Amino acid sequence: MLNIDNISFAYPGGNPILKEINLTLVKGENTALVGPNGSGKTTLFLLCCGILKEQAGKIEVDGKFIQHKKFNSKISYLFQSPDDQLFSSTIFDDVAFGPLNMGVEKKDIHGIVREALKRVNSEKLSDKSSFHLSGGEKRIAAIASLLSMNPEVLLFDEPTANLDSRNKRKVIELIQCMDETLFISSHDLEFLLETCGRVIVIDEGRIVADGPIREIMSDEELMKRHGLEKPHSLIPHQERHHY
Amino acid sequence: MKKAPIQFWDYRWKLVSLVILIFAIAYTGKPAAMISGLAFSLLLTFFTGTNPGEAVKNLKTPLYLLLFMSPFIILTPGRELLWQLPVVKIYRESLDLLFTILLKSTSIILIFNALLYKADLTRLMQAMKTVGIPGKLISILISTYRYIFLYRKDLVKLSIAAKLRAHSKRRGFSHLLTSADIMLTLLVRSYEQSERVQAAMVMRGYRGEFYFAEKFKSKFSDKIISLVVLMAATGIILMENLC
Amino acid sequence: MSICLAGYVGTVALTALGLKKTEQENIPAVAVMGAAFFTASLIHFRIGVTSVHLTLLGLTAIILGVKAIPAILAGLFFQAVLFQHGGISTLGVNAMIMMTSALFCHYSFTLLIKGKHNKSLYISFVAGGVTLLTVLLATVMTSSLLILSGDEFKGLALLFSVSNGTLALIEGVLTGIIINRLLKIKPEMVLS
Ligand SMILES: Nc1ncnc2c1ncn2[C@@H]1O[C@H](COP(=O)(O)OP(=O)(O)O)[C@@H](O)[C@H]1O
Ligand SMILES: [Mg+2]
Repeated sequence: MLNIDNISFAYPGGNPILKEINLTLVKGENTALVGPNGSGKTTLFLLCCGILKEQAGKIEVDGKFIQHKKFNSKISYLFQSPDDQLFSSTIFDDVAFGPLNMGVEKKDIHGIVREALKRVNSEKLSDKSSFHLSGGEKRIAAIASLLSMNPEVLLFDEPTANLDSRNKRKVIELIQCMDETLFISSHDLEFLLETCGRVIVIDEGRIVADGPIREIMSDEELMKRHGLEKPHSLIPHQERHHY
Repeated sequence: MKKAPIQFWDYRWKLVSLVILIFAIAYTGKPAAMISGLAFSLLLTFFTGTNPGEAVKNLKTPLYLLLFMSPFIILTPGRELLWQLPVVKIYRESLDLLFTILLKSTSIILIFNALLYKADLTRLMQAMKTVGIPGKLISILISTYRYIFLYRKDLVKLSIAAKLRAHSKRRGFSHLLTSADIMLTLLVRSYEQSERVQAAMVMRGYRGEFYFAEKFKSKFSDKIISLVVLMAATGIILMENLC
Repeated sequence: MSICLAGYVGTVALTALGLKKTEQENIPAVAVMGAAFFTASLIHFRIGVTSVHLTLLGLTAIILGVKAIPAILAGLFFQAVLFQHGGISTLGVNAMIMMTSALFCHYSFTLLIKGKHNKSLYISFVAGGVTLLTVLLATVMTSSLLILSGDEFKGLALLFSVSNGTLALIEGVLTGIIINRLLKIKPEMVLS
């Protein structure tokens, strides 16, 4: 579905951030992206949707190459902060923004927006202004503004950052119901365990691990080496307490 | 919530006729014309269901400003002496000017208020676009609107943070420097955010033009209300020229 | 009346120019920065016993260049819509004066710092000086228009000139300071 082929990248005048990254996402599968702060997760996402231009390599979505600054409706990116994404005066306008730009007929817009908001269980937000929403509601609304464009690949950049546990639960349930191909970066390993089957660990610009999430996250030594902690739920002693 | 009549008035008709009325009043200078202008804007305020409290609130700032300016206006010598008080001389021209500013600004603010009271800004922008305001300008206005609120919130937070560190106890130059730093923080943050907002919009297919989901449908009553307003505007201009 | 009309005509012409120089893809960025400038102009500075707030005309022009024109227009629009001060008839004249001054500021700044991009102290001083001149220019234009519109406006013109003259000085100093700090943390905001 998403094919990243030998990508390297450095910001102008900076050190290389990503070095020869290769990976392929399987259609319909959720993949986690973990790595310490500044390891290049956001950078990789921005490359995948054409906001940044790679210095070497190619990125392909559903058989089509990503071109710099060219809109591709197959892939969408959820920004770390919903305030970067929601700019209209009402949530309706924000959710309708993508489809209207894609040339959807005006008479179909209401249905599309309703459908997208229904998928995130938030039809009541439609007429609200993003200014009056809580952090959790904004996050959900931002997700709806992507879903309305019907993308096949979704890149979620730290979708649970700044959320309380109830809102986090909402996001988890939402992701579990989605059949799109998801690529999720996060520092919240418990959250990733619940939503993803595969994990990719990057550190210092390279992929250092790639495989089934439970297997890799149980590898205490590997996790420590890259500044990560083994999730509590995977520690056997604690697991006994839970059940 | 009961909708006030003014909210049923088609935005395009409302926009055009009220703007013409505002310019007609701005054009006036003779007492009779100005007073009828004020009378009509008061009528508009009450008949269209605009909240009078809101109107009064919006009148406050300009009236304070006028109050502040009035000594300077009154002290400006004119030709025709009205009263000779112990220290000051009151001239007819000064009083005329004060009276003119007071009448005209009150009427214009009342009309502005009728235009904007509980208005849906997106619809208003759409109306502006249909009457020929360039798409680029509409885009700028729409995005500016939301971020003004966001940054005002930021500004409040930054000012509180500064106050907590005894910012207000400082005097003179160092107070100036702290305020400059608050301003700097705001600008740098917004610069970084502006790049992300732009990327978020381009990624949802934005190409410099805003599209709107709704269509305008004007009713017969819209035209009637607009006709009345336009007749009033004509009347005011005639009065100015004939009296 | 004819001055007010000329103001609107000038504003329309300058806006058309500014919009032409603003690429499609830069529009959201201009809007977001414009909102920030608008907000920043609400910050109060305490000077002695009074507190003032600045126009930020110089800073906006230096950072946004010609794109400052649509940003200024949006700022004035929302000032009218959200706070409803400023008369409609003078809005055109005000806008035109601010836009012309901003263009003056932008062009003289780029001209003066040409080839001297690594001298940050020099650039800061130029920024401060150019801002001072810009605000003075705007003041002179406004006052002369006030006087032109009739003798009874002389008192207002005087009040305006004196208060804005002081403001120009403060605005110049602050712009210099802010540009100096920006050159350290985000030089691309100033030098692009
Ligand atoms: N616009 C930029 N210009 C220069 N360097 C940047 C920029 N954005 C990020 N970086 C640098 O790139 C590195 C990777 O950042 P990022 O991709 O945001 O990491 P992550 O999302 O994994 O925390 C960091 O060291 C950061 O400082
Ligand atoms: Mg990141």
